[in-house]
Amino acid sequence: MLSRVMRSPLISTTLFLVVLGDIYLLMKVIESGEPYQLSTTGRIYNYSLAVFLCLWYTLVILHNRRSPKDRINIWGIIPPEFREVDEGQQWITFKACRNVYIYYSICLPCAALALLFFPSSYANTLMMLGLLGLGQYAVYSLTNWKYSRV
Amino acid sequence: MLVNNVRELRARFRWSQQDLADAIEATRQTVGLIEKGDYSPSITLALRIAAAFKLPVEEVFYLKEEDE
Repeated sequence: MLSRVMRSPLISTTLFLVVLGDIYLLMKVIESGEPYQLSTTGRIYNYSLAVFLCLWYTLVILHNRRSPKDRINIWGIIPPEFREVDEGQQWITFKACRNVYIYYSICLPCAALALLFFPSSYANTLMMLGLLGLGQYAVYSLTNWKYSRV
Repeated sequence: MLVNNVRELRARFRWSQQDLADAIEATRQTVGLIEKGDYSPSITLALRIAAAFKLPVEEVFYLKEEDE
C-alpha cells in the first residue's frame, strides 16, 4: 500500500502544481517591488509545502526500509512513479513514456499557438505550463492503469 | 505472433498469478501482461517460466501465424 502511494503519479502532480504555485507567489513578490514580503496566504502556502516535503521525505525513508529492492532515490532524477522492478513493469513505463512523448509532440505546438491568443502575462504562461504538466501526468497514469489491470 | 499457455498451465498447477510471479522472480503484473498477450517476455523470463512448469520452453511459448 505504501509503495503504491509513494509511486503514485498523484504525488508528482501535487509537487509540480505546488512548485508552479510557488513560482507564481515569487513573481507576485518581485512584481510588488517589496522583496521578502510574502502575504499571509503565501506564508501558509509555503509552510504547507514544507510540511508536505517533510512528510514525503519520511515516507520515502519508510518505503525504502520496507522495500529494499524497490528503493526510491530522493536525490535522483528518476521520477518515483517509474516502476522498474522487473521487465514487465519496465515495458509499461516504456509504453507510458512513449504516449507522453506523443502527447507533447502534439500539445506543445498547440500550447505555443494558444499563448499567442492570451494576453502576455506570467500567470497565463504558468497556467499553460500547469495544464501541459497535468496532461502529461494524466497520459502517464492512464497508460499505467490500462496495462496494470491484470 | 507469440502466444503462450501460461494461464492454462497455471490453472493446471493450481497456482495464482502471485505464486508464479514468486517462482520466476517477477511481479504479478508481469505475469498478467504475459497471460493477456500484451507483452512478449525476454528469452530469460520465458525460460524461467518454462522451468517453473518443468516443461520445455516451446510447450509454453510458440509462434502462431497472424491469419490462423
